[in-house]
Amino acid sequence: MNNFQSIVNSTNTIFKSITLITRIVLVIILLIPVGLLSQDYLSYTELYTTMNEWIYDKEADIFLEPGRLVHWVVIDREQSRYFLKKYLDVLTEMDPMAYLQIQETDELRISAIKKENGGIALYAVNAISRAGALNELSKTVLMNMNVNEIKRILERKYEWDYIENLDTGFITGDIINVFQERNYKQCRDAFWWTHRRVDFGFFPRIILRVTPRYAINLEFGREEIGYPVNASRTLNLGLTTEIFNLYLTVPSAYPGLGEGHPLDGAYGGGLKFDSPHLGGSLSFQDLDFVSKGDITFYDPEHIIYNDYSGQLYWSFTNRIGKPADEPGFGLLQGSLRIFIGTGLFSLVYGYQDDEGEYITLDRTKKMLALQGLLRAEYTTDLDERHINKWRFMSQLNMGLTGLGSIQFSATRSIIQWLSVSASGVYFWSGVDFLDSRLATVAEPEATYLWKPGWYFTPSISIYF
Amino acid sequence: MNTKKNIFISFLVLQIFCQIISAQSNSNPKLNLDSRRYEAWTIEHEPYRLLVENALDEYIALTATNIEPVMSGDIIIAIRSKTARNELFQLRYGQTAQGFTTIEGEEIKWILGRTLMLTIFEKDKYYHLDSAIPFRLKAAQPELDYLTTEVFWTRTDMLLSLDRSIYKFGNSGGILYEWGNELAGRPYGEAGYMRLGISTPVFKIGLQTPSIITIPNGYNLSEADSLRLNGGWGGFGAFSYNNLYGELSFMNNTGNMAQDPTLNLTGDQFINYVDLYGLLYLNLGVTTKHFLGGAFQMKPGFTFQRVAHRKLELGQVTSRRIDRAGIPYLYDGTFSFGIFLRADYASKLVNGRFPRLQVMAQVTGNTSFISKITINLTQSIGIPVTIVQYINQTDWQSGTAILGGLCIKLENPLR
Repeated sequence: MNNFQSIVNSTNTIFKSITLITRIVLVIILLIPVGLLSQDYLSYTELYTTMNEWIYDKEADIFLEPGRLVHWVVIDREQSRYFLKKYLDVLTEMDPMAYLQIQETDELRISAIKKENGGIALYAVNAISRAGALNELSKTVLMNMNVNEIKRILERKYEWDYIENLDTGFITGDIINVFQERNYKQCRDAFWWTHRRVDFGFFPRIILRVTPRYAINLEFGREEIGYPVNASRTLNLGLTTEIFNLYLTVPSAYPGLGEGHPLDGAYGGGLKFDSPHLGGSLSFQDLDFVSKGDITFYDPEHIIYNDYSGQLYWSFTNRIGKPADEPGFGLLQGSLRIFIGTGLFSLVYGYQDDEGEYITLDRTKKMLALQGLLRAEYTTDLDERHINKWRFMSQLNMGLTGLGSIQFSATRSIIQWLSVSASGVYFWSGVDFLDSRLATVAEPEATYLWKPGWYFTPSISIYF
Repeated sequence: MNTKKNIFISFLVLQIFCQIISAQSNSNPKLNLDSRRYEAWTIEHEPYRLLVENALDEYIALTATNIEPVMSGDIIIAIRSKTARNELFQLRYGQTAQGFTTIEGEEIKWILGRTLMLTIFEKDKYYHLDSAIPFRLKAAQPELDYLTTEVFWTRTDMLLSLDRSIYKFGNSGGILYEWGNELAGRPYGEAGYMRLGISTPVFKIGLQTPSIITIPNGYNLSEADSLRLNGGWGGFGAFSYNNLYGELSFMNNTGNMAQDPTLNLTGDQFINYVDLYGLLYLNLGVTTKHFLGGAFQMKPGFTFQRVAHRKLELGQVTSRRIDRAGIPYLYDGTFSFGIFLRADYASKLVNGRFPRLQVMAQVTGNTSFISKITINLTQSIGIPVTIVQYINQTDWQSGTAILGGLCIKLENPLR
């Protein structure tokens, strides 16, 4: 019996010990979240110890670099209401007779400063009333608030936004925020491809954006080298993406007004690139790709076509114009993109003989026929109907030999799915090609003067 | 006793609940996303990149957080759910080799603010490139990224190699030099031309000129030096976009060709140069645990080229319709096209930076079969050895060439 009692006692002791250990382990496990939370809290409170470190002394540093300041507006109404309530509580406690210009419902604007040794401090707090009055919160009152309130508002762990118009009495300086940077790409999209699914007819061109990444495009003419629409008897059929356009060139013709001898078309291909700053193009055409009589030339006795071209440009975009609701004349608010570039350009001259074969007579003397490029694109911002009301383009291509052209286009969106446009080009000089058929003893190097002339194309565009 | 027990049980339930919430808030972000449900893109518009960088810097300064700042070489990926409006699902930044920092949920709003977040969300309104990185089964595929990047672009500040050099000015562009064209089946001096231009991570464009380099970097087993290509003047352009690669180049030579040193070998009566060349291929890659745990890439595609036949007559380059054996050509150029197939392998990256071994095999139409092995001694120095076996024996190509090179990659020490 004693033995039994002893075993029972031992078992009880062991059981109690296990229970105690279990409870201790349980308590440790249960305290883990509390420990984790307090660890976070401690690490943050270690940053600064006094209120002087949390609130910046503006008078001590009057020559402040603008880049050191960070401004934002508190969008979270609960957060701003809570902060202002605490502020008003302290203010009335300090001066019960104080005249309260600031209300709990005011919009809160914070300005913080990045310290030179790292870290950040509160620079200023402004409250804007519903009537638009701007009131800066008193530093003395802020200094008497609980440090946790200051930390909470500085931590920015709530819904906030950048300030569009820095009229809050802060040092504004050369501060760039997202509002100045918006809408630049609209200009690029409007001319490079389209932000719509289908863009039918602009320039004229057709763009079917099959997926957001890829589009199929058809474009008459060779706008990039200065021969748009009916100035070049070509049609480019291609695949377009955000950065490149890979296309096949086929001979074609587009009706329009004009007087002159357009570039003839041949079969070929090309590649165009465009990024916000750098871009270029590369193309080739070759009459050897076709059988005799496959192409109808503008004048079979005098055939001129562009066999190779290459181009490289640099571009930049600026925001220009005035808002639509602002009185007075001037460009509507939009984006202006300027291109500056250079290119290589080669022309071949020949004729079609009686058997339909193309005979080369002359070509531009050097492959390196340099051309300069200057181009400007302007588009108004997308309006509430998601259309660019106006689009303008002007381009100057100028060769070292004097050959050059100036072209323009203008498009006015009438309604959401319809716009009218007009484009034109003028060549101020021609090119002399050697023509052995015209040679005489007196004039062995007789030439044929090619006059590209001028072209004008009105068109209607339909969008989906 | 019952009261104590009830209090204890209530406390226990409360703590378990707290632990669940705590565990949820500290859970890892979702890394492998379903491409049917999400869209991902890299922010390429430099001002927006800088604004995101600034916003992150501000957040790091404002809060005691462990989030890493964005480094200058990082890519920034924005991800949005196809079912959510005006909210970003995740923001990732970093480099594929080292992995990404992922931010999601409320923290994105806290970091970016309302307007910047909406601006980043509206991806169609700024320059961006679609990204497949968040949809990969493996969060990081450094070997595949290495292969994809190094064929077209470079991850180092300066790449100096015998056949391709890039000097980067920033992350978005650089100056490019190429000697020959490996993808066309003619590396180094085999092509007869060199290239000078600009390159970006997604496209390159520039001039082609006769090769002025006369470095004897290999040996042709056919011992027929005269059967090789000449150079010319022209241009080239290429893009690498969403696993699609395309290239187009042209050359012509209508003037004095005295600047082309290959004329000394071929003679001026049998001039041949590639006046037109094109290539289009798809990039298909897989990472494997076999073969030292590296990555494979297959590149099936289509290529074409035309070799122009010319001769120098009275100082002018004119058409030629006869070959060295006196057999007439139908045209003054030989056009050919065919299948392009290339396989690349890179061994597992050492410290996430470079593979010790790279192997490549390539068939370019009926031009050539190339095999190449590159041993990277360090991150900075690699030695490639290339064997070119020409498929068609013609007036401008013959036999087998063994070619050696040297590749130096330099990083800016200030970074």
